[in-house]
Amino acid sequence: MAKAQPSKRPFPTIWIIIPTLFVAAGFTAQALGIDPARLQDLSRLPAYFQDYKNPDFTDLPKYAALMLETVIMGLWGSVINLALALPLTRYAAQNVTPNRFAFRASREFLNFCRAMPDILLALVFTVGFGPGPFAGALALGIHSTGFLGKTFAESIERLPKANSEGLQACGASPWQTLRFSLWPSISRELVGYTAYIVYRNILVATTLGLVGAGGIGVELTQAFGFFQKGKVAAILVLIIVIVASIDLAADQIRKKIS
Amino acid sequence: MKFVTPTGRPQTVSLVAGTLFLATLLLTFPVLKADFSRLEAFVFMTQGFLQEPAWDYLPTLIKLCGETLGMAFVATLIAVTFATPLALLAARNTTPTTALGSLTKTVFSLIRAVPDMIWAAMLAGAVGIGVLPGVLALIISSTAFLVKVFSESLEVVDPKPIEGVLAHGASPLAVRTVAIVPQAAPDMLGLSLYMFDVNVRCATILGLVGAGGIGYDLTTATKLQYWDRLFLIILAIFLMVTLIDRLSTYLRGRLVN
Repeated sequence: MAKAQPSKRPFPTIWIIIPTLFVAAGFTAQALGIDPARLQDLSRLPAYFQDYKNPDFTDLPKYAALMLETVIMGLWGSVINLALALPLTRYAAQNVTPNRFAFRASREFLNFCRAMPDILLALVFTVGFGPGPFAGALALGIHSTGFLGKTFAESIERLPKANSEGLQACGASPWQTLRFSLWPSISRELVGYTAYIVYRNILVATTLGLVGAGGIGVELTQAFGFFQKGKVAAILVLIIVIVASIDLAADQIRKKIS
Repeated sequence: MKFVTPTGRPQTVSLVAGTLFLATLLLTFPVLKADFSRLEAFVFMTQGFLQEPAWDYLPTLIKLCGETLGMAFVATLIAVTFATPLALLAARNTTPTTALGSLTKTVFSLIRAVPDMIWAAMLAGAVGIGVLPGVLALIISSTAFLVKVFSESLEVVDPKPIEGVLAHGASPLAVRTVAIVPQAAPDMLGLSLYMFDVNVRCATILGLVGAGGIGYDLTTATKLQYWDRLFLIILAIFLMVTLIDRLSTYLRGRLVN
């Protein structure tokens, strides 16, 4: 990279790209059949959401139990993520991978995991493992591994080479280099990413019930189906409280370690 | 040999914590209700995948993939348009008043707590099934995400240019447009590209609740056990998501340099 070159201002191209994007979006919306007239339907939204104003908490103990199931599903998903991602990182980081083949294979596997939406995986797993939280945990366990493994590998790749060369010069094995040079420098970052993944898994776990993969989503889908808006509202309140507090906790963990 | 963990706590503490965590996990395993008796169905399904794909379904598939991409594109652009001023309202160093800043942040963190699928399901109930509720749901959830990450990247800009323009007597508006936003802009563009990538992924499944895209056919193919069709759909989603992912990674890489 050139050092002291004055940066070229990107503005001229940007001012062409932005209007083009908006025009393209207009045409896309037309092609999608989004009728501008239908946007008037949006005026119905306030009235529609009015019905959600009175949450019906009569079944709260049941919801709480299902929410616990959801959280456990998310945690198990995260444990599978760690169990798969941690060993894979050794092969998926360019600077510590033993050979090019292992690098490509592990990267492609991680890409595959990331590319498969969790709900799709959950749908497929409910065929094999029956409806229930196990299919959900497995789906989360595969999908989020993609994100976790990739970010883990990238944080190892960002490390300066000198860190590990010192140890290698003393005759350390690759695993020893990983344990004593790379691990201490990235462990904080990894805890941050893991906290995010736990939060994300629990958030997504609330919706996996849509395809019958257990948790509070099953109850929510049922309430939706029967237009029991009071029950839907109660479940949503519960989801928001739990998910928002886990989001806060994850943020706190990230702030504390950085 | 006695190791000290990076947090500075002795290893015994982390050992005990680890054991407790493992014990809790194992005790909660029954909650998952794992059932391996239906694995035959799984094998049957994968055999269905290996049959000749349903080629006659291909034109519909391509059309639905286009619809999915279009939804993600429109929604991301609108979400970025909404989120930029809102992030300026929320970020600590650009907000007019601190109270307004934290109010904006709280409101959007609550919106973020409702998963996009649930937004889509509710909106499909409100405005009728189709592409519109899907696009709206994507707009809502990605605006909420972008407000958070945009305001975070505004907050970490270098304060020196701000002091510089302030010393020249710049107005509050000028400080934001000249010293703060240009510093965060590459980051925000990169995040917008990432958001597009996420929205494509999400748009593939919105159809499960009747909110447009390829998701509806995905559910019907699974329910009616059209395994040959399901295989094509999964393959198409994989290719589409991977392609967009590579493209957005490439463009983000170009932005950094």
